[in-house]
Amino acid sequence: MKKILPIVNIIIGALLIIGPQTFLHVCKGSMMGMTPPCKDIPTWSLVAGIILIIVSLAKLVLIFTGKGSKVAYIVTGLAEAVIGVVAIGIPTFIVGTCKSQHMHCHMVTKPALIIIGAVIIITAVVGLIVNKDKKVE
Amino acid sequence: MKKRSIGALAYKNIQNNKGRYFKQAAMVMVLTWTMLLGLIIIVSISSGLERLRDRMGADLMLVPLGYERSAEGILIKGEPKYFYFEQDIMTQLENADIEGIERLSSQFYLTSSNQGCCDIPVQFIGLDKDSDFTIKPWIKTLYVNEKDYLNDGYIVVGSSIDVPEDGKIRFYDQYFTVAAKLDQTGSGLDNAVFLNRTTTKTLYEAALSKGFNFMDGCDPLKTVSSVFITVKDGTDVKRVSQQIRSHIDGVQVIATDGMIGSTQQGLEGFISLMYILIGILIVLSFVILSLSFKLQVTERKDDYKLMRTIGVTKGEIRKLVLSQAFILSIIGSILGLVLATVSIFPFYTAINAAVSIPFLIPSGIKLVLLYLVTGLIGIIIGPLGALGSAIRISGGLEER
Repeated sequence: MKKILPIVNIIIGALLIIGPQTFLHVCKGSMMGMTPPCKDIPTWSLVAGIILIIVSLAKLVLIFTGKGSKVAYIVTGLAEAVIGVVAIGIPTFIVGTCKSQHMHCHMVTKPALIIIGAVIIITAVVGLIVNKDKKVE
Repeated sequence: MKKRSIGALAYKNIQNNKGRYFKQAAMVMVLTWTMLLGLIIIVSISSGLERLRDRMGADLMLVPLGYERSAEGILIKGEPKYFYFEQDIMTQLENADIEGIERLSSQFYLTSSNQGCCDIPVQFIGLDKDSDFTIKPWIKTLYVNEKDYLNDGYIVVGSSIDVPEDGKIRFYDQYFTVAAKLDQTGSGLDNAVFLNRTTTKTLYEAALSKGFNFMDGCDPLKTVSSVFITVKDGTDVKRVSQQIRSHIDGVQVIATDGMIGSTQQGLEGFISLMYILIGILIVLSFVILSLSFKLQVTERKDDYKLMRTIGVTKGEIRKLVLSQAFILSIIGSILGLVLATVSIFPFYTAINAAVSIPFLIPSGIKLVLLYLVTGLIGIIIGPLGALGSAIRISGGLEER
């Protein structure tokens, strides 16, 4: 379980990077001279995804080398949870989406990023619970 | 061994052999996930068609000859379109002396383009304020007095159109006040904007000033795109339809029931296929779970023998096997229901836009029932699959 959770987060991190560039794309270009408010979502997701992958890789190293202290597990777990909150925040309070319910960023990108963020938070919390007792595996 | 401790032992067994039991819980999860998704889709299509049938409010719809598909596109698929009668259809109808007509009201269609970065094209439907009977029963929220919702400058919007905080929506650089919002239909009408003929003219002129040209010589105050007709009680709709055809040329008479009926017919095959697939999935899950429990029980035969030697009865071993199956089914069912929920509800708008058919997710009791039925099947399928193995193993142990 300890090893699986960071691997899951690495996959989710990859999804955060690739998703908004491909199938979770935002509204494209400028229309009638106006810029869609969702245009910065891919950049924010890219940064969040890269940080998540780095944190999860660090956690994996701690688990495999057996050198992780309790504090190290707590810090990496909290960092993952924060990235989860950021993933939820990108389409809501950080960047936002177009107002119309039928724009792609509103009806596909937004719910997908919220679900991805929720999954990151859940894996972070489960990781904190399973790592709370033993110092190393 | 007490009854309570059997459950605890079953739970401990699962905890200690997560890998072994994971596949069975995953099977139940896939079953409940797929089953709930399938049932929600089936019920949503049926509810959408039912709501559209109620929403039409008319028995007959008249459109210019050859525009039946376009009318279907507006009403069912939500594709913004415009078309107009070349003749004065209302005068012709009034002079034709057709028996059986109770009410008739004309409509004028117009479409919008993308006005800003976040707008999508919508269908405008210009109504006759005095004669319209199609939208009043479907008003969900009124922002003005009941009598004023079709006044000049006011618009009534479908359920999918967002109403800004200031209550004003811009089309072709003109602002219109939202007077009411309609109930959801799951059809193309959810993306429509309704307004009176004078407001339609204001909008039409704004569109012309922006360089949009719909049809030469078109006057939103007089031109007609469609006529909705209700017939008197006891009157044969087909007879009225024939009378209209024989009196007026260049008109396509559509029986609204027939239009929805043909869509329904097309979807019936799909719905039947979905039911068959759900049935196959249930049977397949039962067979796989039965085989899986059989293998598992055979693998652990020695453990059960050992338990018998320390005084565990064959009934308690049976209960242990069934309890494990029950716990796995509960875990699998909960995960399946949660997965189905997050796969369909957050993406409702996207699914609705993709399917292009009336699609209305059920709510209230209907939805609770779907969850209960799916959850129940998920919970009982595990113990049912394990029942044969449980009986066989306890019998086998007795023989020895």
